[in-house]
Amino acid sequence: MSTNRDLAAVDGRRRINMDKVMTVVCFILLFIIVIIPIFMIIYNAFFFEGKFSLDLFTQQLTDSKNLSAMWNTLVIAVCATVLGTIMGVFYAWLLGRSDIPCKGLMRALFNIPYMFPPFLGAMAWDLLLNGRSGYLNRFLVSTFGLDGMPFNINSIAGIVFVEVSYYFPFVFMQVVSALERMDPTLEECARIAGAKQGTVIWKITLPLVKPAISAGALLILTTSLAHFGVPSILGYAQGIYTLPTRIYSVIYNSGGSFDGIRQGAALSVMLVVVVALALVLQKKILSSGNYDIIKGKSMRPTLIKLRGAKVPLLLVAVFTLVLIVVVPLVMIVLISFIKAYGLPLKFSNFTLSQYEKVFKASGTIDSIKNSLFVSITAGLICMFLGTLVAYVVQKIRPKGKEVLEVISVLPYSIPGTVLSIGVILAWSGSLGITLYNTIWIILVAYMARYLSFSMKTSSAALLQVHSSLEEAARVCGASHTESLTDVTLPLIRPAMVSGFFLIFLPAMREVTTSILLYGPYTRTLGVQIYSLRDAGMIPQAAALATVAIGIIIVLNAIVTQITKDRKGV
Amino acid sequence: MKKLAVLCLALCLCLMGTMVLAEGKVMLYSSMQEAQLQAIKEAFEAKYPDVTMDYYFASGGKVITKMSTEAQAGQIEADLVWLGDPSDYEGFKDAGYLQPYTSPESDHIAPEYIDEDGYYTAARLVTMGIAWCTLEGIGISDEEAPKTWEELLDPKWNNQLIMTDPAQSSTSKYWMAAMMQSEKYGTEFFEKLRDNGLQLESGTTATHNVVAAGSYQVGICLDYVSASLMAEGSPLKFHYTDTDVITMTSPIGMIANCANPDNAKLLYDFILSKEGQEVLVANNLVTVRDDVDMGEIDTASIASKNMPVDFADLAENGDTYLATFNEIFNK
Repeated sequence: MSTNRDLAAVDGRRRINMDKVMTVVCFILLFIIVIIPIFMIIYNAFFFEGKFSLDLFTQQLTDSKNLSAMWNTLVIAVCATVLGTIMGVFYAWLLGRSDIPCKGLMRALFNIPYMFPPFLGAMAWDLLLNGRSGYLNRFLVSTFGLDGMPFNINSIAGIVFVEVSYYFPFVFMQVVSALERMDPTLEECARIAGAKQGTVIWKITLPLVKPAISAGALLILTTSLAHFGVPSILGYAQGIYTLPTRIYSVIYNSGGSFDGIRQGAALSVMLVVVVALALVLQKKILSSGNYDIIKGKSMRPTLIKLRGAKVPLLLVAVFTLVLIVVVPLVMIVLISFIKAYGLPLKFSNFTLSQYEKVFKASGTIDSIKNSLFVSITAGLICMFLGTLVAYVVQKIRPKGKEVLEVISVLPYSIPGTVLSIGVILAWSGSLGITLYNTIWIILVAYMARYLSFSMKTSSAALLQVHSSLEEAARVCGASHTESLTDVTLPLIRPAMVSGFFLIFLPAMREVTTSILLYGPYTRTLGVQIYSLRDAGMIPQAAALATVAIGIIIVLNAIVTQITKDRKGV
Repeated sequence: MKKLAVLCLALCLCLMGTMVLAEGKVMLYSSMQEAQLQAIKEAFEAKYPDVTMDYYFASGGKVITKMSTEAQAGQIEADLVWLGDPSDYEGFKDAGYLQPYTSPESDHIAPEYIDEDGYYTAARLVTMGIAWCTLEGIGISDEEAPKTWEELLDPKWNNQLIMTDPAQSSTSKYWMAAMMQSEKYGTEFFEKLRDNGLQLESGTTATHNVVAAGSYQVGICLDYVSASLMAEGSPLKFHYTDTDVITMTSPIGMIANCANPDNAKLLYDFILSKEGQEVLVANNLVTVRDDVDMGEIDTASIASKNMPVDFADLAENGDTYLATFNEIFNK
């Protein structure tokens, strides 16, 4: 804002239009953060020493290992999406529309998996159901005298299971709120016209919440396609690769030569193609109609009486909660107390020494500091930048605003692994700036990755601020800047704050992007846990994971507290 | 919201402040276990309170990858590097990653442990042997366990054998290359191991863990990793093979143009000093010095069973051996 005045002062008569300045700033920043890394990937995948060449690409595309990785990625993502959507819709309906008891508590518990990094779940299940030595497997074998281990989590099915249990809340949360906002008179009409309960659900309720289902399913699909943690922990040792884990291993097995990064870039292009294909497919299957389901009137949909099915359904819900929330958490905490990996889980084998080691290690405090620093900084920058982009797109509406919108959302639909390769290619000296191995390269990647979150929340808030408010301020003699800071910004402040937390929380537990970007001084919390486990220090990794879970719980409590206060703003 | 923003900014600045501070620093890249690195850090910082020692640890393959990537980007961030396999250091030397340094502590270290051009010095001895699981009901007894490399080929260990992927770990690569180089074992030995269902794990400690957990009964394991896990109570037992012992001299080297050369020399000397080596021995490592007491471990008797290794051949053809190994295991 002061730029505006300074510029006006320099240029005595002609005032420089602030709208134009904001638009130009938006384009420049997005160009640097988003376009350059993406361009670098495409350039390196197709150009070699300045010449166009498809060699690298075809060579990667015909490698059978890459093809099977591609196939695994697709199978896992599709299965996780279908199962996660079914599960999410079912529990959303059960908790949103039926008269099942303990709703509030269960709803809170069902949101828990969303808070935790899925790779912690993978760690826990690997300990329990490892095909050769899982604790639960062993228990089942010795109790029932089985011949072989009954479960093997180190398989495609195991990966799908863990991903579903962490991703179904995407659908669950969307659908539950849609169900609550829908107009119950529509259902009542159908009932009066003689439709049975099943018909009502199938013909009225489901179509009404279809947009919510489709949005949630899309989130599962793109997240799963790009996911690194779970397949790397469960699949690596068994030779089950997905594209993101394959990219990681190609880069690490190349002995650091630039070839590895170029191969990674070519594989990244493949991953982007897979994601794009999946998106198109999804649009075809779930072409979402737009229903006007939000009405101004406040009303509570009638609850469906479960009658005899109440107890069995409650048991199913409780069992699911125990299986996906309680068991992995308890397992992580238990292992963090064990003296040495492999010992039976007996009280005599418990110790606090793992925690002592974790807190003595310099890496722990550093990684927590680093994570806090990048998450807060990325959150703050994105909060302002996202609002700026949203303002330009919604209010200034320059030519090319669609381009701006697409660019700011683009990085979220491309996988984190791909994004980090782009960032490495762009900022490790080839453009004259070297950020590699510094905290800034992680920050740049986080900014690109999470910008769309704050952009979307601010956009939605800005849509609700009618331009007449700003115009009224202008009529009363306020300058453009004043109308912006005194009218518009205060109105969208709550949305900006929630945009910040939407970025801050996932960034705190991020692994996929930072695993390729961290340097010796810049490990993040997620990377530190992952590397401890990778180096074989599993009890120590579990202890740090327990600490991380504690941090996440505390942060979440703070967020809830702040968002509660926010109503007064 | 302003308050919140100010609070966040303040927190950020504080965090940045702590990151930039600490003038006297030294960075060590290593493939050792964190417990040993932490012990050295504590002893070193107690002696030199003005210098903060940082370390980055990962399996040898990852450390080498990191070094080459950083070298490409301009400068390796480390001041010292300490990996398991001495033959890697020949490559580092050729690539110009290292600078020569002769420590005043060298007098107590056998000359064959020091590079003739002074680019690296052995700082500990690491021996590959056989470890097995002693977990009740799952593991095996000491009598039953294999004691030589040939006994690993016994069909009773079918599908119960594990070793660290040589592509990931420098110690495992050295052992594999030394075995493949020898006339007695050669590629045939690895083909037989494969036929007996040998599996590969991605990291050295992970290999020991899966043996301790009874996932596999027998592993090709390292002496010091087994010892430190056993000290924690891990259900493992380690045996130096009866014949053909393969020992590596795990060297340290100083990075060329490193950021903190003076502190790097301090740490280099400290690790090789009697004091530093005693810290290592207390943490289950084997010393390179002639004046440090090794306690129960009879280094002379183990050394007498050493298999002769053509070191120059390993340095030159290590990657060819790895390629052959990958071919055998279809990787």
